[in-house]
Amino acid sequence: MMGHSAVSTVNEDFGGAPKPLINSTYLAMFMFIGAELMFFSGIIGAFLLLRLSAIDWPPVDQPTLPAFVTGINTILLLFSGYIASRIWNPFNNKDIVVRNLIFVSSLGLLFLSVQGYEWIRLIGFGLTLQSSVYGAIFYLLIGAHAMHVLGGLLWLFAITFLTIKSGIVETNLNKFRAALLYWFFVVLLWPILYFLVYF
Amino acid sequence: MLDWLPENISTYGMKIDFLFYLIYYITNIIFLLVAGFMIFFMIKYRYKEGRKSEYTHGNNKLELIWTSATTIGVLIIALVSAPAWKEIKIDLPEPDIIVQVTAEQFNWRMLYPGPDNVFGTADDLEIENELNVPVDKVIHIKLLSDDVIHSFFIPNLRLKQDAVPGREIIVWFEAMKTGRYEIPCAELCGFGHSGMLGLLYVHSSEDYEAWVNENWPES
Amino acid sequence: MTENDHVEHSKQSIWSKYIFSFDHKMIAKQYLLLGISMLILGGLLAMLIRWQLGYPDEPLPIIGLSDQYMETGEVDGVVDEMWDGWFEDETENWLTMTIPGGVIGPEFYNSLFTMHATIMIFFAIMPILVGCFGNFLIPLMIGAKDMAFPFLNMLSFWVAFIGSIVMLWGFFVPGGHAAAGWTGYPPLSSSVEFSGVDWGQNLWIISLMIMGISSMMGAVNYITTIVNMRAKGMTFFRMPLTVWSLFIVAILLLLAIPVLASALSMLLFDRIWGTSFFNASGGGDPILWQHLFWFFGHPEVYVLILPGMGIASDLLSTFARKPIFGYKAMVYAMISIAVLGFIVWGHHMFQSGMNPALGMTFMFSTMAIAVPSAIKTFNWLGTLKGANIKFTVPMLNTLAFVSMFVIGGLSGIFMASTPVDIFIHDTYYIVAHIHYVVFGGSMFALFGGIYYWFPKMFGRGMNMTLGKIHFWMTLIFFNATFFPMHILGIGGHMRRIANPMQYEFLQDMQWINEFITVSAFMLGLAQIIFFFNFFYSMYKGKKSVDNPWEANTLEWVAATPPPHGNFPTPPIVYGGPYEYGVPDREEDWLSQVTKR
Repeated sequence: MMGHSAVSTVNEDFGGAPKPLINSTYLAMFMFIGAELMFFSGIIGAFLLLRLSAIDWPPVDQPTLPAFVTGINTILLLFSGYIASRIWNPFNNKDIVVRNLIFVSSLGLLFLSVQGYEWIRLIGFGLTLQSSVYGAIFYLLIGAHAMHVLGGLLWLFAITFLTIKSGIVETNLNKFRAALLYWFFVVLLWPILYFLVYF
Repeated sequence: MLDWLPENISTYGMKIDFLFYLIYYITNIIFLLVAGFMIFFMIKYRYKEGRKSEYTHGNNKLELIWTSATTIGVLIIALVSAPAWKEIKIDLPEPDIIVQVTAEQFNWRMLYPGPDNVFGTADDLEIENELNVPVDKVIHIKLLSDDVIHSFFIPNLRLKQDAVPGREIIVWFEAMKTGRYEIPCAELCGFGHSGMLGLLYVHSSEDYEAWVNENWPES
Repeated sequence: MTENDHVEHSKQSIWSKYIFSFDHKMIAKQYLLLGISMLILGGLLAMLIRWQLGYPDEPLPIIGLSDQYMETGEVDGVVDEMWDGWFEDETENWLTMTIPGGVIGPEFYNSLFTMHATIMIFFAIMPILVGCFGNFLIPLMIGAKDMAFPFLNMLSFWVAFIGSIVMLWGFFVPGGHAAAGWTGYPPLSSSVEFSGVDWGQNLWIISLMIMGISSMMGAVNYITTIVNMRAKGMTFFRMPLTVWSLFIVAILLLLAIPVLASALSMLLFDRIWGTSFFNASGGGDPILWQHLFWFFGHPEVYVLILPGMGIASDLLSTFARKPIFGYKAMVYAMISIAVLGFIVWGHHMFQSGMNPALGMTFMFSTMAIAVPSAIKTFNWLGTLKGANIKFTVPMLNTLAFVSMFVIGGLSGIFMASTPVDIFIHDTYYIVAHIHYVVFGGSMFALFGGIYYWFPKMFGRGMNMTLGKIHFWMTLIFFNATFFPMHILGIGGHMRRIANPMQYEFLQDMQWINEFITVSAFMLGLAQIIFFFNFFYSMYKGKKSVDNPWEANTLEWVAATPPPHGNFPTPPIVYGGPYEYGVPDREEDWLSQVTKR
C-alpha cells in the first residue's frame, strides 16, 4: 500500500524517536498536582463563600481554633519540606538519603499526630461535623489536607524502602522525585490553609 | 408577528417578547445564510472524478471579517438585553402591594399582610395556591422556600424566579389584564414537582376591593 | 501483521490481551463496548421518558398487560395459559415495585430523566468520544507506539468500569435511583426526607467520584502522550484537529473534574454525616452547590462537544478532498472556547437567586462564546467551498453535525440573553438546545467517527447501505423529535414534569408531545440498524485495506488493524494533516509521512 512504502522510504533516511519535551513523570506529577489544587480550590471557594456570608465566624458557641500550636506545627511541616528539598539530587551517600527520608517522614508523622491531638480536643470542645457549618468545612478542608499528608507519608515510606533495597539508580530516580514533588505540594499547600482557616 | 409565546399580560413582558423575536429573526437569517451556502456548496462541489479541489488553507481577511461581525452582533444583542434585565430583576419599582410567597413541597403558600401592610401581625391571611392581585398595580412578591428549591413561574407574566431556602428574594410584576392564570413550579422539587400548581387571579380594581372586603370585613 | 507480532500475541494470555490489556487500541475497544452498552441503556430510558410524556400515566405496553391480566384473567381478550407464567407471580419484585401496574409514575419518572442524562453524559458520550477515540486515535495520529503510561491507561478503564457498576447498582436499591436531576441540586439531593431517595443518590455521588478518578488518569495520560510522544516532525501545528480537541478536552477535564469532586464530597458529607454545607437552616447555602457544579458543568459541556468538533473537522477535510479552512483559527477557536468555558458558568443560574448584577456580567461572557463557535462554523463552510465532496456515510454524518450544531448554537443565544432566559429557563427550549448540541452535535460526530475509523479498529468496513438508511432515519427522526421541543418550550412547557396534562396551558400542546414520542420511538428503532451494523460488520464486514478513505493522517499509515506498537518503525512527519488536492500531484491526497 501507499502508506507502507512511504514509511519504508522515510526510514532509510531517518530513524529513532525524538527527545521528549519534558520528563513524562514530572509532567504527569505537575498535572496531578494541578488537579489537586483545583480540588482544594473548590473547597476553599466553598469555605470563603460560607465564611463571608456568615454573621459570626466562628459562631458564638463554637471554639476558636488553636492557631499557636498549629503555627508551630506549620513550622514543623515546612521544615520537613526543606529537608526533602535537600535530597532532590540523591546522588551522595545512600545512608544519608535514607536518614533524611526518615527525618522527613518523622516530621510529617509528628505533624499528623499534633493535628490528631488538636482534633480530639476540638471535638471535646464541641466542634463536630454536625455542630455547625463552621465545624463541617473545617474538618472537610483540614481533613482533606490531612489525608493528603497521610498519602504523602505512605509514598515516602515506599520510596524509603525502595532506596534501602536498591539505592538510587537511574531507573527509580523518577519515582523518587515524584514522591518528593508530591510532598512539596502537601507542605506548601498547608501555610495557605493555615492562614485561611485559623485566622 | 409570531404568536408562539403564551399571551403576555405583564408590563415588561413586551420587552422580553421583543428581544425573543429580535434574536429569532437574527438567528434565522444567520441560519438560512449558513444552510443556503452549505446546500449550494454541497451541490456545486459534489464529487467529480478527476477534478481537484481548490488548494487553499484559509483566508485571514475572511477570518477577521466574520470574527468581528459575530463579535459586533452578539455585543449588540447583549447590550439590547441589558436594560430589560436591569428593569426586571435589578431596579425594582416601589410596590403598591406586597405578598409573601412561600414554596413548599408541593404548594405555594401566599401570605397577605392585610390592611396594615405589615407581615407577622394578626390580620395576616394565608391562602394556599391562590394569588389575588389587582390589575395595573406594582406587586412585589417576597419569595421564600421551606424545603427545597422551587421556581416561581408565571408564563403569562414572563416571570420566573427560583425560591431558595434560606434566602428572601423579591420579584415584581404589574399585570395589565384581568383573568385567571397558572403558576407552575419550574424547578425540580421532588416527586410532586409535576402538578405543583398555583393560580393567579388578576382582578379589576372593583373586584379586588370586593375580594379584600370579603377577607378583611372589619377594615 | 508481521511474523513477530504473531509470536508476541500468542504469548499473551486471554487476560492480558483482552481484559487487562495495556494496548491503547484494546483499551479503546473496551471503552467503546462500555459506551455502546450504556448508550443502549440510556436510549431505553429515553424511550420510557417519552412514553410517560406522550401518554401520561398510561401503563406501558406489554408490562401494562399484567394489570389487565390481574383484573380480568385475560389479555386483550385472549384467555391463554401462556400469560399465566408471565404474570401469576403477585409477590413484590423489582418491576412491580418500580412501575406498579406498568405505570411509570412521578417518582420513577424523576429517576428516569436523571439517569438518562447521567448515563448519556458520563457513561456513553464521554467513554466513546473521549475514552475510545482518545485512546485509539491519539497514539496513532501522533505516530506513537502507545500511550505514555499504558498501565495507568488500563487502570483508567477498569476504574470507569467499576464506576459504571456502582451507577447501575443504584437502580436496584430501596428508594430507587437518584431522582434530583443530573445537576443534583441540593437540598433535594442532599436530604432523604425531601426526595425519598436513599442509597440511590449516594451511589450516584460515589459513582461520579469514581468516574472522575478514571477521567483524571485518562487526562494525565492524554496530555503527557501528546506533549512527549509525538513522532519526529509532528509539531503541534501539524497535529490533526481531533488530537488538538482531545488535548484541550484533557486539560478541561483535569481542571474541572476536581471541582466537581469537591462539591460531590460536600454533598456526600451532607447526606451521610449530617453536615449542612448546602442546608440553609444549618448555615450552609444551596446556591454554593450550583456555583461549584456549574464551574465544572460548563467545561463539561465542552468536553462533550469539542471532540465532536475535532472529528468533524478531520472528516470534513478528508471527504471534501480539500485542506481544512483556517487550521490555526480552528485551533485558537477551540482554545478560546475552553478558556471562556471557565468564566460562563453563571448563565445556568440567571434565575437561581444569584445576584442579578452578576447575571449581567455572565451574559456578556456567554455571548463571547458565540464568537469562537461562529469562527468554527464559518471555517467548516469555507472548507466546503471549492471542494470535491464525496458523500460517504461518515461525511453525511459530519455534514449533519455541522448543520445541527449551527441550530444548537444559535438557539443558545436566546438563553444567553438574560431577559429571554427568564421565560425559557427550565423549559423544553433548554431540552431542545442541549439535545441539538449533544445529540445533533456530539452524537452525529460520534456516528461519523465510528463509520470512519471502524475499518482501522476492526480491519473490516461497516455496511454503507445500512449506514445510509441509519443516517437518513436518524437525521429525520432526530429533527422530528427535538425540533418541536423548541415550540413546547416557547409555549412555556416546563422541563422535568411527569405529566403535562396537569396544566391547563399545556393541554393544547399535548399533541406535540405525542408527535415527539412517536418520532422518538422511530429514532430509537433507527439505532437498532446501527447497532446491528456495528456488531455484524465486526465479524462479517468487508475486509478493509490500510487506507480506505485515502486520508493523510498517520493512523492510515499503520497496518489494518494496527499491531502492538502500531508502526513497524517510528514514522517521520513531513507536513500538515490536511494536504488534499495539492496541485501538480497525481493523487488528490498527500500523506503526512510522504517526503515533499
